[in-house]
Amino acid sequence: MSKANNNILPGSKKAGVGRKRLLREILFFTAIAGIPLLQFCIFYIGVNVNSILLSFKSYEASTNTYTWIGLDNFRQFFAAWQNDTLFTTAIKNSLIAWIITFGLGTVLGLVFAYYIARKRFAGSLFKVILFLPNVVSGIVLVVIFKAFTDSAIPTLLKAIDGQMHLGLIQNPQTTFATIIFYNIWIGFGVNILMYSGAISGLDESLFEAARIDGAGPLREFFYIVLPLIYPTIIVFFTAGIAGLFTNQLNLYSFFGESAELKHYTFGYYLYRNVQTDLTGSNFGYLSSIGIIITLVVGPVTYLSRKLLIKLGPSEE
Amino acid sequence: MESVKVLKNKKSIFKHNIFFLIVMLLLVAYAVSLILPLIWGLTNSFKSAFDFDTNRLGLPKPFTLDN
Repeated sequence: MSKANNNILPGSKKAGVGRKRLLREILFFTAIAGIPLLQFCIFYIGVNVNSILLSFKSYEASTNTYTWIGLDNFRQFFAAWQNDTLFTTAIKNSLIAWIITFGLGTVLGLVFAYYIARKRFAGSLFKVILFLPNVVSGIVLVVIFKAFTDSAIPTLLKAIDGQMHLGLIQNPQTTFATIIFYNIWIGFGVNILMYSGAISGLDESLFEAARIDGAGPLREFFYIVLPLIYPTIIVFFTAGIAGLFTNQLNLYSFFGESAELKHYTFGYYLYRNVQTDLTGSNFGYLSSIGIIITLVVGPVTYLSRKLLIKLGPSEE
Repeated sequence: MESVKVLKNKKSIFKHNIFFLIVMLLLVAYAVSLILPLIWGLTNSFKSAFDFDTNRLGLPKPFTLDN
């Protein structure tokens, strides 16, 4: 091949065709990679750089001017943190919601994925049904769920005991628990697909050998499945912890701008303030909160990932 | 030796069946909880506002496509 190429003289017809082909290939790959690269530069790098710069500025909507104010936005946040219990409530709610949704979601997701991947009765049917919430629009699901818990369930309970009941979202004592339930309820689909895909890829002979040795399903699960798909669990954990303070728990879909303060999560606080700030004069302050969250969550994510890898089960 | 292995295998199959039966029941409960609100939402989309207020759990009476 190289011999043939060496025989092509520079400036000959064959060399011209080769150059044209190379040029066409470069053009093709530039066109393919160019659009996503451009998108990444504008909507990721551009937006984030702008957000960082915005955190050091204030915006005056009436004159459409930005003023450099140094660390004032950050100072404003720490002052508000000391005087307002809202942030403590929001952090507490974010943590509680994350621990429950991630903990329960992972445990049940793994067990369900194990069932589906082992090709048990109606496994494929369950796979389709469990993925249903991801097919239906998020806001439609919220509307149906809200109507069902606030309308159908109280009617059903009244038919059983003859007494009036508040809806699960309407009742202040059950609101937050119901919101957390909703987030677990709709969050299984993707987890189960990923986990069952990972389990299906495991060597079947491992399960056969374990069964011959008399291993029960729990032993099979803890000693074969869990160690071998542990990297997949770490990926979900990392993604989950990175979104710890930006997850608004669908509160905006449930309550719009009027969620009760005691149900606030950090993600909802940010989301609501961005949505309601029509002039954009508060964006600098909100950007500074975003930077602070990144500075806290970044190292936490990195360290917890390292810790999980170090303490996790061995594949040997 | 062979009989011990067969016994172990039988025990393992029994344990697997019980475990997967419990998981299946959980999956059925979860699948029902997913489908039920969606079916309820679908049937209510064929009700008039008055029918929805007076008959929240039943089938549409009369069935309407007005929505």
